[in-house]
Amino acid sequence: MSNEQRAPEQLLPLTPAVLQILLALADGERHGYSIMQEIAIQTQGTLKVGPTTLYRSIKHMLAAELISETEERPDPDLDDERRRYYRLTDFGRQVAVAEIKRLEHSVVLARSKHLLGGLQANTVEGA
Amino acid sequence: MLQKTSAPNSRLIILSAWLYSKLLYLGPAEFRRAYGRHMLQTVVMCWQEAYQRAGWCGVIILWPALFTELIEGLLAEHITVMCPPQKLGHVYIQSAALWCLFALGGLGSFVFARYPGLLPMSDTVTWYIYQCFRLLRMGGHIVFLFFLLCGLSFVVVAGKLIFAERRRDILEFLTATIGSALLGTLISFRFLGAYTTSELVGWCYSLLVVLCVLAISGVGICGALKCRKQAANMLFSTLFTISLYTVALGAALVATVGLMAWVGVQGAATVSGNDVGTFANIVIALLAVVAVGSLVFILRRGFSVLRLF
Repeated sequence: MSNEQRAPEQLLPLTPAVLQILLALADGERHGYSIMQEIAIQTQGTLKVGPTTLYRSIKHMLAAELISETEERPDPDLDDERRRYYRLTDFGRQVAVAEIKRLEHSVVLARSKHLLGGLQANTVEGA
Repeated sequence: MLQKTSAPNSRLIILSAWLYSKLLYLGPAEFRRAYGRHMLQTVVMCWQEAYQRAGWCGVIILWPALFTELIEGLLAEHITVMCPPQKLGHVYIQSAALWCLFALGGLGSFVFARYPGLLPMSDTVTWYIYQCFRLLRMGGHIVFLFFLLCGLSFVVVAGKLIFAERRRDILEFLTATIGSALLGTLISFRFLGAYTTSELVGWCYSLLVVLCVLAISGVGICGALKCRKQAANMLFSTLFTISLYTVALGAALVATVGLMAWVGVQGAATVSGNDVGTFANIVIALLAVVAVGSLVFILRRGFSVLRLF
């Protein structure tokens, strides 16, 4: 099935690992270990994705065409040629945006119900 | 893999990488071929970073988390490989075959329990035959425990997949397996009597041992005929189904025996035989409704699979 026929919402909700991988690849292509490091940084160590979870998720994301493998190496002289690099596809970007909008809706709802107490939007952004 | 990195490669890292590469063989072959090398590469980089930070202690500390993550992930991958929607028909056929096997084992145990004269112990030859049967039954109990342990780990991982990844196919598979096991157990309890439980397990699993030996021989023959991969997949798929079926059977056995014991203590009913009290009968009837529902579900799916041919 081509991506034009698929709605990003069909794949929602995403698992935390898949969402974090999509976010890690948002600013460029990365290899497996680099994705793991980026996830540790962006979640401040709260989500630890091991190699098996990472590559299982990558397998499913490749099948769902959320990401794709790339042949190019950022610096071929320094890099191990056997490494595989992954990049976000357009459809993957749409799915990530849809998931973030869904999460944003939940946050707005929680705020409207005063579930977050005194926590303001800028506090969350600054965290 | 380790040459182009600046981090040191201690013997511990090399040994750990070797061990990790061997552990990867526990996973499905396709997954290992596609991602095994990259997983190993990633994990070696993790160890190198840990070694630079905390020496050999860092490498050792990483092991428990990596090991559990690897085993859980590989089990999940096995379940994913075994339960794609197009393979569900095979799963139902396997489930039905196993149910027939259990019914056969239950019938055998019933006959031997009711008619002990079938195995006379008067002369030496029959005594030896009897001892062989006893050993086979004891072996059956050990195999039952083995499959129970394997199956429990599968169920835990399958449960996580159902909830975390919304895997409806795995849920269907578990329903079919648990439903058929529940029905088999209820039939054996209600019509064959509670005293046959141990016999039932012993005989059923000794039959499984024989079948496994035949299957392994089959794999050997297929290996000789150069279709080892298909044979290994078939064998693993069957072992996987048996493991899940065993968990369902174990749960049904524990629930029914526990219920009987509870009724025996709380009420005036006896635990032995079929006299387990009104309350137990009501609960057993309710469980039977669930089991029959599952069976109908299996048959309905079975017919839809048959229509495909």
